[in-house]
Amino acid sequence: MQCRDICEMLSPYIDGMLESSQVVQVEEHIAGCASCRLEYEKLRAAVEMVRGLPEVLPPVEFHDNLRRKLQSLPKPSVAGRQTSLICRLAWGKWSKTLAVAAVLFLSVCITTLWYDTHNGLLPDVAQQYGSSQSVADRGEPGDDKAVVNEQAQETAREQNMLEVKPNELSNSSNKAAQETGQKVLSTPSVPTPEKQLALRGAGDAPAFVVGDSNLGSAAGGEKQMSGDYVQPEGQSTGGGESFFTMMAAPREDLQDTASQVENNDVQTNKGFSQDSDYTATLMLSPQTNTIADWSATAGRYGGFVEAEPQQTGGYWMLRIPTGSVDGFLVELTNLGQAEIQSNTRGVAVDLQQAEEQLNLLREQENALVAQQRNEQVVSETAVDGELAALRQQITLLERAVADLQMNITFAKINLYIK
Amino acid sequence: MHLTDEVLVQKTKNGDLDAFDELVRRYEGKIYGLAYRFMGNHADASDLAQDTFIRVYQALTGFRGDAAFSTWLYRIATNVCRDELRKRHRRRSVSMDEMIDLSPANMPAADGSYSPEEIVQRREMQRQVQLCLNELSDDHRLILIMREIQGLSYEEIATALQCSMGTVKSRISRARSTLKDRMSKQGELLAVTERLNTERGKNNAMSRHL
Repeated sequence: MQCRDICEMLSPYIDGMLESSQVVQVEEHIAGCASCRLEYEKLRAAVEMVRGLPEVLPPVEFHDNLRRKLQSLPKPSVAGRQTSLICRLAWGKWSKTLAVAAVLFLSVCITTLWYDTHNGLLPDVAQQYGSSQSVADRGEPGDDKAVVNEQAQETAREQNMLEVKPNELSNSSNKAAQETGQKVLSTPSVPTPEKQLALRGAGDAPAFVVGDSNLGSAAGGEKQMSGDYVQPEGQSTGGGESFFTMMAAPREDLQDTASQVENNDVQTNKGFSQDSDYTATLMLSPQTNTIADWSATAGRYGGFVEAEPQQTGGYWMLRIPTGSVDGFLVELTNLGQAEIQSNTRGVAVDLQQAEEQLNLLREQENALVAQQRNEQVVSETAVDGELAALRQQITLLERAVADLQMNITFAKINLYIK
Repeated sequence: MHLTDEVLVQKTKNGDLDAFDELVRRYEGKIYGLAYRFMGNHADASDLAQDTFIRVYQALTGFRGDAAFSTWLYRIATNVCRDELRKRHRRRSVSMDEMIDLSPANMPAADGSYSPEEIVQRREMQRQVQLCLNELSDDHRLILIMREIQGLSYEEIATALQCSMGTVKSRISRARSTLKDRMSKQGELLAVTERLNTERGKNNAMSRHL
């Protein structure tokens, strides 16, 4: 067999898509042929690199925006006739059975709508056609709740601000953690009613959390993960949103307050793993506000730009290694008038628990895989389903752990430029 | 209680928007990831992922379950992505280079036990891999995303792309070969990965706790 034929087989070989006789051919050949072996290794490395790309998660508002759009659409059963035609066209199988007239009619409709609407998005049209009214109706009772929750959220923030003052920036020492802990436990300056409000808000939150995480044990991790994407004040919830938006955004803050209270005793004992968030507002002359500047600045401290402002009035999300944060913040204050809020919480226990849970799940996974190998024939699909569900949990948890570790290594800085 | 996709599809057909919401929750990461890797930036990924789910929702009554829901979803997602690019190529308004985010807001790799330097290095490497992907033809890029990133089987890809297994096999093979050549041009890229992967093997986060 020639080298060219072997090279053709390398890709399916990597995927285990060759017959056993071909596998032997390939393996024998690359054992003896240096150039094909090199070819194989390069191909393998290229594949590994693409496989190693991290999963990209949708931004936190994605789900709610989509939900709102969907709510404004007619239900598929109502719109059944029209949409199923579109679907069949897309599906291709039954396209032949469609009457030519229907095709023409549809394409004219679609083309018209396409150019009518700004981006060719059909749903916008549907929105115009009155069905959005139901959303507006539904939005109102939600608004009241949102106000209550926002109050609670604000209180929670006030507490956070009291907890760590801007000049207490050292965050990796035990001493700082102890001080922080004590401050909260014995803060006389927080009036009791406010505290109760915050706690009550926090108490409400688990109901939401339980509601959307039927993944059980992974919930803790998930919470942590999504907490990361919580947007700062003024960006998260606009008025008049459906109840779904409300659930997503403020919940995290409330939850944070709750876990903060819980974690304080822990923090005093083992305050070495901390998750640090900073929100900085900087008054700056506009010409210095370019990406090159910030990624270079972050780079000098060994950090990077995680996200640029998505819209005007948005913020930069920077990651700076926790050890260099102080220096970075000092530089910020030198650049202009800076206002910095910090929020530090101990996550050692969260991390340990998540990792233990992860190990447990991995053991279960291994056990299942072994079981699958041993009794291949018997109820394979049931095991498959279980395995898939388990792997989903593992992925979620891995993400959460990675996130926690990321947050420990790198402080997150949300930077608003004015 | 874990409902299967099929049950959720049926419930959605009966007008249960929460059921569809659960389906979205299950797949939004995958579809968003596909769109992001295909387009190379978040703004487009958001638009296209949203577009996909809306199309799916509208077309759901016509979905008869001949293939798995996920495969069908991928088919619509790939159509949405390809349509968008075709539209743009026609307009020639935006080149791929302009579309890439300057700062890929990527999550760290699942195993998080890296030093800050490693993380920065790794991110740079990932950015370059994405650049190499962007240089591929649409078909090649798409099939590699499905195979390597989303981990779909040849069969699933064939169903989603509506082509034969033979086509899938040869397209994956050619796409990988082109990708490999691009990466070789990037010189150091292959060497750096090699090194990072060996290091990664050494200090696996989990081994500390076992």
